[in-house]
Amino acid sequence: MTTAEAVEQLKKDGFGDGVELWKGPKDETIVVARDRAKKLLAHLRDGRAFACDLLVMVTGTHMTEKKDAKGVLVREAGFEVVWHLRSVTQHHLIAVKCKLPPDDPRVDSVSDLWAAADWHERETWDLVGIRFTGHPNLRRILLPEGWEGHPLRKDYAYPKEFQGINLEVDAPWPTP
Amino acid sequence: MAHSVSSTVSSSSAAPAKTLLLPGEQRPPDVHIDVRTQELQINMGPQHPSTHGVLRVAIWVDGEIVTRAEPDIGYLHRCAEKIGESVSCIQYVPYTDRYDYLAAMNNNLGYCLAVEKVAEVEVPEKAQYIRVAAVELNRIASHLMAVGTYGLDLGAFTPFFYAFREREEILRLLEWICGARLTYNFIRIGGVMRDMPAGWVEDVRKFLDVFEQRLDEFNDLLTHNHIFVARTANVGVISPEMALQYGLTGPNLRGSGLRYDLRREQPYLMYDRFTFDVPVGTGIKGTVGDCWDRYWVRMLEMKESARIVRQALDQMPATGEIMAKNVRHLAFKSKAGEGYFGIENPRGELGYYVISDGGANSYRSRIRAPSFCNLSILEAILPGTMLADAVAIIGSIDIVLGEVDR
Amino acid sequence: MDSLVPWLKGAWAWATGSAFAFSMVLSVLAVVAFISVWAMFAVWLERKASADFQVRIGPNRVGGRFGLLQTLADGLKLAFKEDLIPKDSDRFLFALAPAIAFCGAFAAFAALPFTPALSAVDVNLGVFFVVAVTAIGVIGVLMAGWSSNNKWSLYGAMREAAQLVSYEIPSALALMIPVLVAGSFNMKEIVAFQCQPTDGALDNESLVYWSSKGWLAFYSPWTFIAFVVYYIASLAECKRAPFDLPEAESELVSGFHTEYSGMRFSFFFLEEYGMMFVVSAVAALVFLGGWQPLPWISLNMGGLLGNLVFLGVFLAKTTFLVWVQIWLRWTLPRLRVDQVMVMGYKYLIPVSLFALLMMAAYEHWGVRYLPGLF
Repeated sequence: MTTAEAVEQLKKDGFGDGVELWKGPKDETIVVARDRAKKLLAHLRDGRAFACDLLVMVTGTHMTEKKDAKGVLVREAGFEVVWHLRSVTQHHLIAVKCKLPPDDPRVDSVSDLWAAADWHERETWDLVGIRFTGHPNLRRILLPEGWEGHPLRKDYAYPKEFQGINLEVDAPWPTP
Repeated sequence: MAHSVSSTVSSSSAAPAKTLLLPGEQRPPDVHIDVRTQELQINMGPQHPSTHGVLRVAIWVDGEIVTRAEPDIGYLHRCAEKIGESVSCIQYVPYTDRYDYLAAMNNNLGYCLAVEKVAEVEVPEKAQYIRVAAVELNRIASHLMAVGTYGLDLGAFTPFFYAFREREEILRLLEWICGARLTYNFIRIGGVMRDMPAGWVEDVRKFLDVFEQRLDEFNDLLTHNHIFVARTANVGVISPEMALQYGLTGPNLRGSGLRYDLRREQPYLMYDRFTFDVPVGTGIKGTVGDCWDRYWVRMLEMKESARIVRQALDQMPATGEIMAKNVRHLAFKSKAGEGYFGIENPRGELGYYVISDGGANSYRSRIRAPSFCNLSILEAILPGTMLADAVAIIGSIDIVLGEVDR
Repeated sequence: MDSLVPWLKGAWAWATGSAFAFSMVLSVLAVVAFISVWAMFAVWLERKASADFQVRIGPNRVGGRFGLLQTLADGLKLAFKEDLIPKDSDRFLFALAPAIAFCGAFAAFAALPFTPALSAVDVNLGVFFVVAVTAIGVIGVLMAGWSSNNKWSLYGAMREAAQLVSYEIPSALALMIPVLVAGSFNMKEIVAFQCQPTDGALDNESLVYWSSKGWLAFYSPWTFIAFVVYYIASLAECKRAPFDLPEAESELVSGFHTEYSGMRFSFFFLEEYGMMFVVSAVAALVFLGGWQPLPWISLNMGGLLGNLVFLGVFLAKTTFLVWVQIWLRWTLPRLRVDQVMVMGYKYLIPVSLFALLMMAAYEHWGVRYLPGLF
């Protein structure tokens, strides 16, 4: 089924105004508020019409505010989490999106629905800084343990040194 | 495995030393024997011959049985996604080669397809056929590497050379067409870098003609060898439900019996015009979803890829454009929007999620690396196996650290 | 050596007291020289044979078109390498381990008769001695694994202890069967049994004569089984694939000799190739007729020419068996440790025990191949 049909079905299934269809461009995505996100995802997994048994990935993006030439707000500040789900039996791909406020990027973890989410959410926490409540083991996965900051944020400041190594671009080579 | 045995026997042996206990007697309280055994924690990696890259798996073992395993990644993290935001889409294509460096054509292809989706670029037909030929040849090379090094992990040194003899020929062909052996930067946004040189098609056909016999030779040596089967059958069994839960895709998922191939599900390029089978694991040597099944799916897929290359070369139009007309490389600007495109990498579903706000750079390009998801199953599947089996399982999942860490 | 002593005593009568010491030193030096040359040759053979199996060429630069001096160059390189001892290792054991491992293989050479007239010591209990002394190598390997202060080396050492000690049993049992048939532990006498003339003493025979006993491998189905069991068990004794868990490269980096480099590592290498020679030599002597070129047709030669011919035949047979070991190593994958144990305890030991029993029964009733027939 296409995403538009999915939204129709979801509205009938009781989500009502909690879900919206975002028409793109380019991918049609289901937009959901963050307090209903997990319920929606669980329904997508368990509902017979959807049967989304494969979690493809969890993406986190830091959005900065953008106004176009006329001063109209094109992009709100904040964070976005996108879940891409596939169904092996129903042969479709559904994207679900959720917008988070800039000062409180929290959303429920779905690692109890799909075990694949465990590592994806750890990576999103590591690089973007979105906290997934209910995750059993939310710690850094790609970056080393003591790293400060979340690199994929747009306002990320590169650290000057890490564990005694000078990280500045023009720093001289360390002498032994 | 670390014992600590301390027995403190009373040193005052004024009392006669009783070495034997009569029935009903209690051991005297001053004889104290303390035997503690504890689990040994070993690090497999980051430098290890069998972890296929800089992967560290912290393993807790009790004798030879693994009780807990924790993969630790990030040793090869190269800030891929951050770089995707700072260089333009056109400039980013060579970076994509370096993630899954064994299947670099597929990486190029995934990114270009995602950007072409968002920027609404139409790729000419001949370029698509050349893309298919290059990608499938790369798939064969990647699988050859996977099965060759798998034999090496298990101690079979010779099949590795046989696999690499074939791979050497493919790398020569790919070098002929684009100049590089491992990281190609051949598939560009809008088409391919250049047309096939004269004589390339004939050489590819010559290679494909001998390839099947060589695969049979390889099978005789390794696949049906009793020791190999004893090492891999019934080892590392992944059920289809578990595979779906952990996001496994590609030969790992098909090895568990699910016939799911993105080239069939959402045919991209020209895959709906070719006839090919999708092999799945059927548990002929052991259980469905064991290491042997995953290995066998890779062997069969190589034959299917050879079929696809033949058909692509036969169906290819003789003349045609190789690059889309509306792509101006020096000033390429994507359209505003976001899109996800997933393709079938030799290791699974490789997906690129590109968010663009209309500039030359993309706002966010997130890479869905198949090895990243495939690797997460190690935590669940290694406990209970023996240490030698851990090596067999890691080899059968076929990871490349370049794309796990990006 | 035994023949050297009286000769020395006779020639240098003033050196009576030290004739024994002199001949001992000479024999030791001769054996050390032989092992070194043999190891060079065996490594070259391994590299060329493996290259052949792997569609490659192998060494072809150093020492001519066939790379004959490649191993010498590598040995020199190893000798000049830095001697690294890990900081937290047990220095004494670390240094001692390669020596003890090498001594195990080296001591077995004392009992090997190369020709009827050439052996370091004529040991009456030759077979028993060889089996016992090669077990010393186990201790050396264990010490290496423990003293390296490296968990992976410890793993190699533990696996090796289990494997080597377990496979001594079928190896020794299989060797008891030809001993039973020939009636002696002395390897020279076992070879003499295999080329025993049908009637009369050896002096009456011509140059080439018929010997109805023939090689022990084909003497009886049970001795053939013993040969196969001994060969497989000896593969495990040499830590060669498919039993190369102790040095399982792809799992344990390099097993028990991970931390060794330079000259100490070359001692382990010498030990490995020395053991290969010892087990192949024992198999050749005991099962394949030692220095007789053909199974039932035997040579009766003496003197320098005869011994040279016998030496050539003996070395050829041993090299062939070593080549088969190399062939197996580069073809087969590695067995897992529990599979190795199953192979040893559940297959090889019962088979060799049964063969021993049946051979004893056959000997008792004077049967060779099939009861009632012949």
